[in-house]
Amino acid sequence: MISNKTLILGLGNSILSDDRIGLDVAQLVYNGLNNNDCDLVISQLVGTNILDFVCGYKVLIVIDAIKTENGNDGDVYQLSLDDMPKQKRSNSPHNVGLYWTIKMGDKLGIEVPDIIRIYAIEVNDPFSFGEELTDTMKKFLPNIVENILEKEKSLCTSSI
Amino acid sequence: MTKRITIDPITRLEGHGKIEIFLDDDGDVANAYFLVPELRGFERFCVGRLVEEMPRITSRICGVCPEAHHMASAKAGDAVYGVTIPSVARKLRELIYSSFFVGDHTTHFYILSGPDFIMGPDAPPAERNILGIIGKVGLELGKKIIKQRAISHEVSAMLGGRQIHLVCAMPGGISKGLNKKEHERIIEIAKDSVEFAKLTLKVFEDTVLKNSEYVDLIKGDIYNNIKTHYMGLVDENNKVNFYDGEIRVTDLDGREYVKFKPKDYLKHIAEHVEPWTYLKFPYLKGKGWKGFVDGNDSGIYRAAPLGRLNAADGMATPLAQAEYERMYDMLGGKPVHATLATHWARVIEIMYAAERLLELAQDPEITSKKIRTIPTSEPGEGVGVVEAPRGTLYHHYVTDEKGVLKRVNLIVGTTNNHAAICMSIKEAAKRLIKRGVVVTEGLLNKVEMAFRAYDPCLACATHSLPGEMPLVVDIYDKDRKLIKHLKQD
Repeated sequence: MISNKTLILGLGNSILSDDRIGLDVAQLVYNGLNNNDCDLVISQLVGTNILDFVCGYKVLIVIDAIKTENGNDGDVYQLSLDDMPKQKRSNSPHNVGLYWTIKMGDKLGIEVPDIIRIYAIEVNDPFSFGEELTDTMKKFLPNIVENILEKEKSLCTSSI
Repeated sequence: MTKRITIDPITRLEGHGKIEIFLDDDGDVANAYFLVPELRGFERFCVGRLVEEMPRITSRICGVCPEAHHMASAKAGDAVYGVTIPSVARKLRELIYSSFFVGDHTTHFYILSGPDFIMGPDAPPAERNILGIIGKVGLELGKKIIKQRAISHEVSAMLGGRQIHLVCAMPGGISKGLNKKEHERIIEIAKDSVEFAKLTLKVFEDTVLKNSEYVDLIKGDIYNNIKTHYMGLVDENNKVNFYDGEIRVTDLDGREYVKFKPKDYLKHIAEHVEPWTYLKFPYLKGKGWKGFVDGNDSGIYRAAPLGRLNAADGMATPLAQAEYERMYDMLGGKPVHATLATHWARVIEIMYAAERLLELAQDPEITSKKIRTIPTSEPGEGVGVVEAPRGTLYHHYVTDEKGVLKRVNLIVGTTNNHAAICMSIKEAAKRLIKRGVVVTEGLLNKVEMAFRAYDPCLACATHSLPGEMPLVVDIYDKDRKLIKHLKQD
């Protein structure tokens, strides 16, 4: 049965420099919310694997890195599931993105979250191997966390 | 600071898979290449780390199949310390790995390659996706697919320490054994997995083998046009094994060309480099690199499901063996060179993995508590090899006397097939793209089917939003002028 709980899902790769920002920010947001109705999952998996974590939650908050063509490092974009690409064909396990994963769960009658908020953080270097954020992103980290926390503190209260 | 945007389609993931097709003077296909600007430098990143950290670090190379890297790395660690792990530790590692294989192959068959067969290659693009498949196969089967994936992951979570990126295997063995409750649950999961494998073979029978059009597609010349060597791990009876054994290579006639121990891989495999792609081209050293050509004199080989079955004398479990025999009977004997038969080989491997999972779960020794031999010798050099779903996976480490890595070399599953993927694409494109033929989305999909069969995993380790991998196909005329740019959307 679906609960009234919220899942904070941090996505990223902990050994690809700024790609890890979703993991770090999710942890800090979870700590900051300090809410018994929130759970945290830090995941370095992709594709349909995500379905295993999100079932049974009413609210899903996804935090991940993004690199856009003309983006400014540290910007946070709030997206919805419908903003996610809907690539029609699949060539690799990597192709099954969040949109299709959630839609698949919904179609199968699995209790996927009703409310999904996605925070995409514009990063500097998600390509190089490294176990820490770049100095650029370290500088932005407190503001990013504060920004998401501010929003979620009110939303978590109102949506649960 | 927060703002709403529409995601710019130009993302970091663009270019991770790119097909370039070059036409000749007559407008026919002269050449085709599959380019992979793959992440590079991972081996260098590992230098200076302790070897016992590697099973945890390397499992982050890929967000899809971390279990394969985890196991290969642990085996390389065993070899670095020259330690023989306890029998039950070996069985527990293989048990986890078998469960992983069931889940991973299930994903590929139903969700990735499924649209090509279950929906059909000519189905409208809007239907060639997971929702289309669920609509076609029905909600009940769809739920079973999801359940199977979940219980496969449950085994990883139970034994692997956690579901996400295992932490259980380490030099000398494994960190956790099975208690009674977990043991009972794993037997249940294994039995369910065998039933699911039976169902999957039936789905393959009903949707593919009973459809003469699809059988013709498998046997026909669009996807059945290159003849290569084949590679895979085999046990002492030359049967397929995913976790351990020797690497066997067979030739175009199915005869054993060479069989070698993992530690000797550099005597038999070399890697060719091309300036247009970061992904290398492994080949058989004894044959040499002769370019992108097939035949017994070429060093190009194929791994992954069809490669493994061709390189072995059979499957080590009864139901998988029966289906193995049926496949070769139906497709004209060994070896089968038809690329699309890889899908059939994959579902046979689901059955093998499920049966093996059950065998191991019911092994009287499996709950033994002797799960690790503490390494005591001075570390040095070691190679660990497993079969990843996408091909033979090699981890090779050299350390100093303290176990600090001085050199690391990896050959990952998809890399083994890189040359063959290029050739399969070229041969399919040659037969599909002709002078005067309009290149449509449907035609593009058929070209892609030539490489989708290999289940390529390219964007290893990186999945930032939007988390999908557009495939780009560029077609150039005889003057290398871009005349068509097609991209999935």
